[in-house]
Amino acid sequence: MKHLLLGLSALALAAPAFADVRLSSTVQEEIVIQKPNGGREVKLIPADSVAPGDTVIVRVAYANESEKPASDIVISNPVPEHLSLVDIREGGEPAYSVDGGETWGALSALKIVSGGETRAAKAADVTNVRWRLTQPLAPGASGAVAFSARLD
Amino acid sequence: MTRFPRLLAMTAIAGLASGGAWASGTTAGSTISNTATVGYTVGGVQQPDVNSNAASFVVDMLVNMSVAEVGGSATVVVPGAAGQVSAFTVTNTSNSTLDFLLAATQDANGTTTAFGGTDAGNATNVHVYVDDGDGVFNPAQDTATYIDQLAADASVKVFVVADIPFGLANGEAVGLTLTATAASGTAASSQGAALVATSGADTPGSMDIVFGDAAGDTDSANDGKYSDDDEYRISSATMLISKIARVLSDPFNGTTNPKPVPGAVIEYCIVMQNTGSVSATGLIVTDTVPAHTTYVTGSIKSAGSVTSGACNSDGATEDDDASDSGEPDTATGSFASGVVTVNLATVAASQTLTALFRTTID
Repeated sequence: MKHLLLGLSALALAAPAFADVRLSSTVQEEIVIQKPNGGREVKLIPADSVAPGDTVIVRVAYANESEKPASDIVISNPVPEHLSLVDIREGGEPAYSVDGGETWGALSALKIVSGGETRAAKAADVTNVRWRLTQPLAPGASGAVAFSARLD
Repeated sequence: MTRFPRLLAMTAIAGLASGGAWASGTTAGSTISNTATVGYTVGGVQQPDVNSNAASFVVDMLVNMSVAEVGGSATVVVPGAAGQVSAFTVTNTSNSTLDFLLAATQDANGTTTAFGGTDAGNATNVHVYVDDGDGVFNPAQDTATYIDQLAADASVKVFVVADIPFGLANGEAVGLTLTATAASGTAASSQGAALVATSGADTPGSMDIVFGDAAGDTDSANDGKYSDDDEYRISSATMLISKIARVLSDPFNGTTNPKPVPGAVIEYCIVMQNTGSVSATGLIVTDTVPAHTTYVTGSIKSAGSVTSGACNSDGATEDDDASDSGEPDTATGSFASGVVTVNLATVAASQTLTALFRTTID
């Protein structure tokens, strides 16, 4: 078994020579600044430390660094523990799961069963999101997906 | 893993919620980390999944607490009462275990107290003690003067114990305010230092301290403190005493328009009115029989009534000795050495009772 694993990782290391889609994850904190003229400015700052109740933007940038187009790209992101999904900010509407990735669908189609009662799932119930890119990603092309979430 | 199942509707299973949904929030100092995964094909061949870096941040300490007076009403006390207890509940709504420093302060005289009274004096010998868990103040066990390591979302009762001064009238109030200040709760059985909010920019990679508390009765929002007020309301018996004398008869006119001439019988009626809100107990009325008059043996009546300010000359007839035996009630009346003594025992709130005796003019 160990040999097999080693073989697989060797394959993974070798893979970038043919195709290499890279992901880069960042978390930013969304802060609202009250301007002197009464307006409000929403600003994103690096989230190094965040207080409960604050909103963060989880952003995943992707890029095809290979010389071949990459197809059937599926970017999957479990909503981190203690974060509650608020909304999607980039990448279009993803598929959602409220059961840890067992079942997927549009948020409006998902249900939560709790204490014998069934109710419509809310954004805060979401455990996983995943985006499927309909077009192949050309060599050198890049993009990003992002969602906002509130720290419990 | 690439193929999306084309599921249009499905029933999810509950119980996999990702966050620990504490009211006070995710525990301070926790690291929240995000990793995404991508799957893709190249030339129709599925490639190994690629993970992103783990983007992470640290959860700040969001300091918040509440202090709430217990019972929703004033603590009713009598003037001079020692060790009167006023209870509060302190709740840690921070996302971290904290100590809380406690202080009780007097409301300023003349200010409106917690339950609508007017502060008329200061309590003395004021102490603050933390409950040991039974919810009831017990001086032997409840000796802690600060809250040690109160967990997130946990509550504890706090007792303010004070002596009530004499000289306060029925209905007057003594107000005080309990303030809890958030302090470091890292060490057990050791009073932590008051927390200070992290100033300036976010400190990368370290846990900042953010004050998220509301404004209490005497403190500001976001100051790491919370306060609530309570009041002691004086409930006291207030006795008004008056004495009415009238001529019942004289040897010449009998009971028709009697005059205060020698041989005339005078009735003295001592009216005791309790205008306070609690019973006055142990009430003893003494009156010296006036000069040039002679006490009429067996004329004492106790616990009579008054109608429109006029003595009804009723009540229980007492004998003249100091013993209750043979008397109709427990209110002893006696006459000795020229002094009439009537023991009215108890005059209830808003009640008026009389003590009567008669003399003849020498």
